[in-house]
Order: sequence, then structure tokens, then C-alpha cells
Amino acid sequence: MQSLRNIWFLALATCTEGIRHRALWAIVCLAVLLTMANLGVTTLFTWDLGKVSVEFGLSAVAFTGLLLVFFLGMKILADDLERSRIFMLLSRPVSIWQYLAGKFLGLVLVLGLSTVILGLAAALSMHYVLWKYPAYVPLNFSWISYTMALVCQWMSLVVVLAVSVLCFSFASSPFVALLLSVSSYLVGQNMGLLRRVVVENPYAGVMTGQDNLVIALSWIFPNLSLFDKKYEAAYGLAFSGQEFLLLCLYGISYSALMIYFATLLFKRKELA
Amino acid sequence: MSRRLTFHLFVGSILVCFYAASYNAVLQERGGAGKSAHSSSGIWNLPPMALLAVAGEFKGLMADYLTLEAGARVGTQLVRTPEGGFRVVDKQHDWASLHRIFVTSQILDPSFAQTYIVAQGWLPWNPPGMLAETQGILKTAAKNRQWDWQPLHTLGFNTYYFLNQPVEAGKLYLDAAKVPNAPLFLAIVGARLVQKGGETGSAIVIMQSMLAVKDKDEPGYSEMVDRLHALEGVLVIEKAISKYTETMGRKPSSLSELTTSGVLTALPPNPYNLNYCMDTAGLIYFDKPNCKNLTPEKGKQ
Repeated sequence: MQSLRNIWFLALATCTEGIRHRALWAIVCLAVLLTMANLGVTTLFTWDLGKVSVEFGLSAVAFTGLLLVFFLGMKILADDLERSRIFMLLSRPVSIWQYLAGKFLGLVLVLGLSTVILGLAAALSMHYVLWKYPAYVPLNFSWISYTMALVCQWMSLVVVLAVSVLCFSFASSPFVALLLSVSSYLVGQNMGLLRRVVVENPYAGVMTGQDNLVIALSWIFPNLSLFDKKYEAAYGLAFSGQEFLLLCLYGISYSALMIYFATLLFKRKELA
Repeated sequence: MSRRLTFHLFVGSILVCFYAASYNAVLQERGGAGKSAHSSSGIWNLPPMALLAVAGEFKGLMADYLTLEAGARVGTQLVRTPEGGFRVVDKQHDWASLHRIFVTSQILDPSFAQTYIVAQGWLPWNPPGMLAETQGILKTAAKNRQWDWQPLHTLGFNTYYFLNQPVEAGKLYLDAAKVPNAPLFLAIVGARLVQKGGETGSAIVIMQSMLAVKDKDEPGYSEMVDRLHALEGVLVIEKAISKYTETMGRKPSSLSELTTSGVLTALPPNPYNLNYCMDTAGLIYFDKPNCKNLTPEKGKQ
């Protein structure tokens, strides 16, 4: 019980710290800009305006979330080490796993907050576009699918954040951790594609015949393309609740595993 | 004015002049006569897999950008004059590059309507006359936009207008008509084209299969039934003509010969309350009672 309390305290403190970094204000400004930009960009097109609007809105959420993970998240983690605040925490009855879990959950809350703000702003601009150009509303478009796609987007960011925490736990410097996180994100985005190329294509260059290696890698790196539901939301395509739940389970289990490994590696890290 | 300030003003002015001259020279060079409107190099030259990898989760946005790029390239032939007006220029488009942009956009987002519509607006016409390439783009769109009748309709139009293949065009129109919420005229035009190509039986089968999945209360249902009955009447007459030709060794000169010779007891009923008509080529019409007097249709270019 005490450990849960510690984690919750750290999560709230981290979330507050994230907001104090003025990240939230930047996000609100971005949301306003996004709303205006969505209206402007959409009218550049003549067909499928609804699709462009939905895609633009969800892409903006994804892009901003990535910026938050790679810059704000890593900075908050690095600041604890650089300003030696971590010693103050670890000298109390807070274990390393509680510290990492608390930090992770705090950043997840910041990501959730930004996703909600940006998602609402995008929804507002989309609502305007769909109202103004009703002929271009995707055939089976539903706000439920949009919300599910938004949650998947957030889940994808949570997984990237978990990988970043893992990289931070063993990297020699925050910059190296950032590079590793970005690389993992890029690999994760294309893992499904790589697996398809190697398994289905006999002319895959040096990767030809390396099916098992690629399949093994696809179990190690996160398959982030699974969480990308912008296409489905933009065209109003079928997106089952079962798939949504399984994706959430996959995201949670992968993140939990990453934080567990991060705890093991962080214990060996030279903190001083 | 101090000597130091004079020196900085002098150096600053020289640097500003140098910058302005070099930048202006670059702009002049890019806008020179005979140059293509845009460079033909770009992200669309990457192999498909590499492109998908680069785009990551922003494939849709990149497809949007590429269609805008294509539209901007071909969009206008007006150029501003120094006097503030406009003049028309004959831009030299790199059509192969444009085609690549459309294909790339479809690789990233195969369902995007703007891609196939803009491609259809430019590629099949002269120049560049890239009909086969356009049909490829339309087929991809049709495959990935199963809720949209327009790619199939456009494919049918191209097949009829450019290739002059009415039967194939009619089948494409009829496929388009099977798409939910497709307008009624597609089935009617499709059946007409197929029948015009001499495949009345196929037209009937397709119409019957379409009616089987339609609701009787749906708007346009009764018009489709009328068209089906008219086609069935045409088929009866076509079969009678074949029998007459076999028996008499020649084609009948008019439809009344079919009844007078006893091949048919009576001409089938026409739901449009018009007389069936046979033109000089032996083609049967249910909606042109004076078909023999009609001017022959001009061939397609």
C-alpha cells in the first residue's frame, strides 16, 4: 500500500513538474494553432476533406506527443540526475522501481493531458469542417472510432515513453538515451513492414532468409504500426472493440515489461 | 559618427548587397526560360518500401502533401509579369514524374480520392496521353474504395471514350452500379453499353443479379425492372433473328418479318410503350423507334 502511495505521489509530482515546464501552455498554444491550421489545410483540397481533417488532427496529436516524450520526458528524467534530486528521493523509503514507475506514470499523465487537449482541439476543427462540407464526411465516420484512434495514439506514445525510460536506465548520457529512443521509435514504426518484406519477399537483400531473426526482433521491439488507426478513423472503416482492447492490453503489457527491465538496469547504473 | 560605427555600416552594407545579389541570381536561374516548373527529383523517387519506412505513421499526411504538390505542378499556366499582370506560358511538365507522384501518393494512402481524381484530370488526355497509367491508378482506387462508385465509373468512361470498348465499359459501369448508394443511371448506362456491344444476355444476367440484392422500395427499383424487361424483349428478338437467318438464309429487313414468317407469334411487350427497332447493322433498340433514320454515331477519337 505504501509503495502504491509512493508511486502516486511521484506520479503527481512529475506531472506537476511537466506542467511547470510550461509544456502544457505550449500544448494549448499548439492546439489553437492546430485548430486554425486544420481549417486552412483542409480547404486546400477539393475531395475527401473529412479524411484530410481527421488525418491532420490525429497526426498533430502524434507529432506533439513524440516531442513531449523525446524532449520533455527525457529532460525531466535527466534533471533528476543532473540536479542530484534523485538522491533526495532514494534516501527516503522509495525504491528504484517505485521511483521509475512513479516517473513513468507522471509522464503518462502529462501525455494523457496533452492528448485530451489536442484531441479536443482537433475534434472541434474537424466538427467545423464536417459541418461545413457535409458531402465529404466519410461514409461510416463515427466519433467513437475517432476517440478509439485517439486512445490508440496515446497508447503508442506510452509505449514509446516506456522504451525511452528503458534507454535512459542504461545509457551513459541523456543524449545517448534520446538517440536510442528515437531509433527504437523508427524501428518500431517499421517493424511490421520489415517483417512483411523479409517473410513474404524472396529478394530482401541481406535480410533474405533471415525470417527467424526478423521475427525475433519483431517480438523485442514494439510494433508501433499496430497502434496507428488514423487511416481507419479518417475513412470511417471498421475498427472492432475487440481489436481495441487487445491493442490496449498489448501496450500495457509491453510498457510494464519495459519498466521492469528499466528497474533492473537502473540498479546497475552509476548515479554519481 | 564614430569610426567604428562607420566601419560596421560599411561592412554590413557590403554583406547585405552580396546576399541580395547572390539570392537574386539563384531565383533568376530557377525561373529562367525553358526550365521545368519544378524539379523532377523528390521523395516520390524512393522505392515504395523505403517511402513507407520514411513516412512512418504519417503516411496519410505525406500522401496529402504529394497530391498538393502534383496539383501545384499542373495547376496553372499563368505567370505574373513585372507590371503586375499575368501572362499565359506553355509549361513543360515532366509527366513521368507527375505520374510517379500520383503512384507514390497511392502507395502511402491508396484510398485518397484526390489522387485518382486529379490524375484522371490530366494523365489520360493529350498531352501526355498516359491512359494505361491512369487506368492503373483508377484500379487501385477502385480496389481500396469499395464504398465509392466513382473510380469504377471513371474506369468505364475511359474504356468507352478512349478505347472504344463498349462491352468492357458497360461491365465496369455495372460493377460501379453494384456499389451501395450508387446512382441508378450507372446500371442503365452499363446495361445499354453491354447490349450495344452485342452481349444482351450478359446485360440481363448482370441486371438480374443487381435487382436480387436491391430492396423493392429503393428509389429507382421499378426503372431497373423496366430496363430488365426491355432487355429481355431485345434478347427474344435477337434469338428470333438468329432463327430466321438460319431458316431463310438471310437477315430480316424489318422486325415485322419475324411475325409474318411465323418465327415469332408477336413481338415481346416493351415496358416503355414504344416499338422495337432494328437498325441497318442489325442492332435492336427498345427506346429508338426510328433507329433506321438516325445518323450513324461518329467514331471515338
